[in-house]
Amino acid sequence: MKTKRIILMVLIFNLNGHVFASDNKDENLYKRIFSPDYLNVQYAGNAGLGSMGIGYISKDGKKKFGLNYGYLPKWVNGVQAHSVSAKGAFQLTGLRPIKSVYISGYAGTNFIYSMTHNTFATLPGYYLDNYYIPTAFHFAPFIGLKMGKSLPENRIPVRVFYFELGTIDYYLINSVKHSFRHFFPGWNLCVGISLPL
Amino acid sequence: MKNLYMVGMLLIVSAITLLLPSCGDLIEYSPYDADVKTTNQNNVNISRILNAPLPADSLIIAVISDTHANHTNLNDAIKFINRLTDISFVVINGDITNWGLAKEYKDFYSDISKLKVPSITVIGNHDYLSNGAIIYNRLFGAPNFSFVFGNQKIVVFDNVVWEKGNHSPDFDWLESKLPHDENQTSILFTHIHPWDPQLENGYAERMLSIIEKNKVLINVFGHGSNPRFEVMNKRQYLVVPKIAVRAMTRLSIASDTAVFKIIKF
Repeated sequence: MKTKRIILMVLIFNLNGHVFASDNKDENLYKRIFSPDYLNVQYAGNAGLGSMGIGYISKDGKKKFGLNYGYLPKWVNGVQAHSVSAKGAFQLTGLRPIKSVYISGYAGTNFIYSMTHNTFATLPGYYLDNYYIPTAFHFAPFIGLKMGKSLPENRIPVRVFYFELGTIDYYLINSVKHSFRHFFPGWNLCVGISLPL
Repeated sequence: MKNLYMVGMLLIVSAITLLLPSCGDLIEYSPYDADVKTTNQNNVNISRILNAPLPADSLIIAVISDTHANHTNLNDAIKFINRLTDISFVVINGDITNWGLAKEYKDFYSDISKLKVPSITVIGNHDYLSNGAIIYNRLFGAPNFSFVFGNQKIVVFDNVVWEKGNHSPDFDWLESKLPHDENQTSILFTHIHPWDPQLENGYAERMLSIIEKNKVLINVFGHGSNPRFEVMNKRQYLVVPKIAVRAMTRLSIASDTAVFKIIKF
């Protein structure tokens, strides 16, 4: 089962490459796919103790999309979890409080697939049909603040460090259902750094 | 200048990274993590039960079940139970979570800590999902346990099958813990009721045969869509209502009788 999951992950990561590699007419797109704009490393934030990945930034610098791998080792709290996630974000605001510093607020969501004990994408055969919905997937919305060095011509910097305040779909829905009784503890903080490639 | 900027940035990130773990609940590595600090609460509460004086008349137990992270109804149930003066302890009969997540366990524990009387928590099938079994073991202790209160033996039995990888419940443990002594009766709390498909493959029959061999006053289950009560071969089987219907069950136990009442709150 574990081997199957790893093979599936590798296939997902390679699928884009094979699709675009077969299209000789779109060499620019091919290059773009295989030339991500940034590498990011993150501490905490629903994907593991640490996570890292690559991403792409839109031409205007205001939207980004990334793929990440995260890991929670067993020595932290006695359980191990791997995760792969797709992350999309868009800029809400950007400002230069002082000449050399650029700060921007943004929002977005992760779509996380986690592999740990007793989570599943499809139910094992001994369950009744539709007994549970898949437990391994979560949307993880967040708002973030990133800070970097101001660049000439009002360009948005890629080398930034960031904080994100995030939660997961289930926490959010349950908090709304129950009048935000446990709303605030559902939010959690992560910190990361993004470097240009 | 550029290097100075990078060093400054790294220092800020490092300092924040070192400080973040002290932010407690604001740091969550993964929803599937098992970061619970409180431990062994069933044993702590059993000590509280045993240290309290025995009830002069009947033993009264409040049972709620299938709370499923329904904080609104759980808190209302707690407020209701706190107004009752004759309850010795509360049993939460399983499925306290939806996905077995640490946050669900912690929120549940935070809620039931408001109870004025001790409580014991039974494991349910949902509580096994993800790393829920590890979290339950830390927060509450072993899922199978028993204790004697007055002349009653309270037995809590984990009979989850599918969420434990389709493995058989530990019926040998159940058989060994139910009293064979004619002078002692017992009350059995278990999450999965005998009419559920989880207990097909002979598990329900095995459980019932063990119960019938012993003097079990009443068998209390959760996991039901609706409350149900049946008497089979001189044994009483009660499926208590889930908390979604805003009801609790009041069990009244005398020396060899068990009477129940479902009360809306």
